[in-house]
Amino acid sequence: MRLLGSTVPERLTRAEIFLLGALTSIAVLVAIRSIESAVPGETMWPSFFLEQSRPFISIGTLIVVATVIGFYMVMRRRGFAHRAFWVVTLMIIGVHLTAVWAHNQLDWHHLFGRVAVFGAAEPLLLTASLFLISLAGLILLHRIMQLRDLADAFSARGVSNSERDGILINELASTALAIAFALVASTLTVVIGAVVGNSESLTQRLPWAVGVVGIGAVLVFAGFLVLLFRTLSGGETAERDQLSVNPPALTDSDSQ
Amino acid sequence: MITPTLLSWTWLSLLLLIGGLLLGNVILVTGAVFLFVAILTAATLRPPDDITIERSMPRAICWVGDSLEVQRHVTIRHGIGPVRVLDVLPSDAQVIDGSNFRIIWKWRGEQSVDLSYRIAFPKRGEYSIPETVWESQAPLGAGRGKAGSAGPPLELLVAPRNSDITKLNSVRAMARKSRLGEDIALIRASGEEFRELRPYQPGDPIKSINWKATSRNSGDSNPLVNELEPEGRKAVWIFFDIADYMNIGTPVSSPMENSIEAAGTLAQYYISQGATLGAYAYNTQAGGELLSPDTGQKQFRRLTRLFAGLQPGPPNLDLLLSFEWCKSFLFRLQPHVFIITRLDAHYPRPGESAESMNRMTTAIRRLTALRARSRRRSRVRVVHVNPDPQAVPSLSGAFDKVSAWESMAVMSEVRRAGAAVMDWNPSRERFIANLVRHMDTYQ
Repeated sequence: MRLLGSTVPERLTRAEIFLLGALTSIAVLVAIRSIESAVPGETMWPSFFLEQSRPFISIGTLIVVATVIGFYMVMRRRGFAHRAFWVVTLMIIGVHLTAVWAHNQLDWHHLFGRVAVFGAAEPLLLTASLFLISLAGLILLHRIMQLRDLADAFSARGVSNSERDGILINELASTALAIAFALVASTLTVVIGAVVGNSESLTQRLPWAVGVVGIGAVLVFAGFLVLLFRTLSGGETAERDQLSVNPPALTDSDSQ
Repeated sequence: MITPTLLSWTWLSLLLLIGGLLLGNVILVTGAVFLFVAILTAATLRPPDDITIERSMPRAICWVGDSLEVQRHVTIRHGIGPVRVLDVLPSDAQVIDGSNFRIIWKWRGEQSVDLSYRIAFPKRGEYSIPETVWESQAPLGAGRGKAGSAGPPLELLVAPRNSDITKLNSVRAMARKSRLGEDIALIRASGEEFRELRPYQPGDPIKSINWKATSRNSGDSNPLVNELEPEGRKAVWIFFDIADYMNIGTPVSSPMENSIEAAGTLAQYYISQGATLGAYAYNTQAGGELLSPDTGQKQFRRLTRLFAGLQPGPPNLDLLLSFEWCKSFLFRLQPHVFIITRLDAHYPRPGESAESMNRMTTAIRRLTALRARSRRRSRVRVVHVNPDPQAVPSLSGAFDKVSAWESMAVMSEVRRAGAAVMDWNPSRERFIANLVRHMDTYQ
């Protein structure tokens, strides 16, 4: 399938780079905005650093994004794409934390008489949305990475371009649907949480122990559901990280 | 069970959850919920299963090089995700159109797909295509999958392609003039040997009706008659050598494959003339394989089946032993004999015993003596199949000349033993051309 003069694997490669750049930019901009709006002297950063860094924000963002993309490309070419992905993922989440940290309800650092603030608290909804979008983007990036490898394997096996592209598009569609479903489910959770949090009578009656035990029970129930679904589907083959194109049974002279 | 990728995401979501709970951070907790839901979705989607495959091929017997369409009708009933479908083909098979490896995407609901591809076999043989292997995968890279096989295994017999014998039939017309009585009789007198039962046809003598068989076959009002072997039927016997020294060159062009082509052409010609044909492949993996003498197209199909299964073996069973094996048939039929082999393989090189050549010439003398006893004037013919020097690099240049010289030496011995030699070079001419030339010479 061709669109804008390129095949699906080529478009996947472009999408991968674009997504990586976008996610890095969002993370850096969110962090900078949060740090910038922080009151000097009330954060961990020295006031001097905050004052001097402002003129370099735009060029600094570009440098960071370019460095991350460069690092990722180099690692990918050397065959360490998955490791590079997890490094980038932790880095992006780490950078987001500077803004997310400001929304902590429990300040443990006060117990030790320390200041552990990285930036000002931006609007909760904006920060949460950007954080969720970044997580969704990371999942999509990882899937694109897998699909690109898959496309290469398909080509090596002589799978026709139309068949390969059809599979890739359907895989992307199913990934998009799963992400959309997860976003809706998590939004619903936040909404329910907000409603419950605003209900003073409920929060006053709900002891901490019940809340913690309840969360634990939900987690155990989720694990139980996973096991139940697996058992119902039954008889899986050996687990594979991604769609393999050389299953053990297919080893004879089949590459025609 | 969770794949490494899902496990990594699970660790990350747990980290966010614990961090969120400890810090009272709703954003981190929301991130954890988002990741949990995504993981749960990936882990619970059911990979495609309940797959049935109907597979068919238009013929069970084909010629070398024929193109056959293999059709697969795949039905997937449950699950979501990609399904790989593969026919594991024999190593000799060539896919000439389409692919034996296909991938189908399955959404919800039952889905049926028709997949086909064309294959050809450049080499004769008996082939088997096992059940179609399928493997499905859950979407989202969750790694969960199922595998199985379905569809009936396909058996295929690939027969060697024989030459067009039209040219040879024109020679047959000339032969009628010189040995009419011996070679061809359009209306032959019946002999005494029983051949088969067949329904009565107008003109059949009453005495030929088999009353016992007719009474047993009460369901049919048509009486059955005894068909007797015609008297004076021409008989031909082909010895062909399948020793491993014949199996040099490429799989498509080796003295062995060319021997089979020659034997097939001879058989086709003589069977078309109504001759009784017997054959013996010697030095096969099983030692030797006999085709009992018989006539008609049925016999040709038997020979084709024999050809398809031949595998080269060590040269332990030589022509003399083969003669001993087939002696009873040979004495009874007193046939024209063709021996197809590589003569240079029998040349005694310095330091080697001449036993191989001596045994071959002894066998030829005995075969020649068979014909002398029946007062029929004919000769044993030895077809020397030259290896293709281009297909066998070790035979190019000086070696080719040495091999030719060795062949010449053995040929003169064979001629002295009473056989005619047909020196056939497959790289230069088709066997039929060589045969036509020799037929002309013999007349």
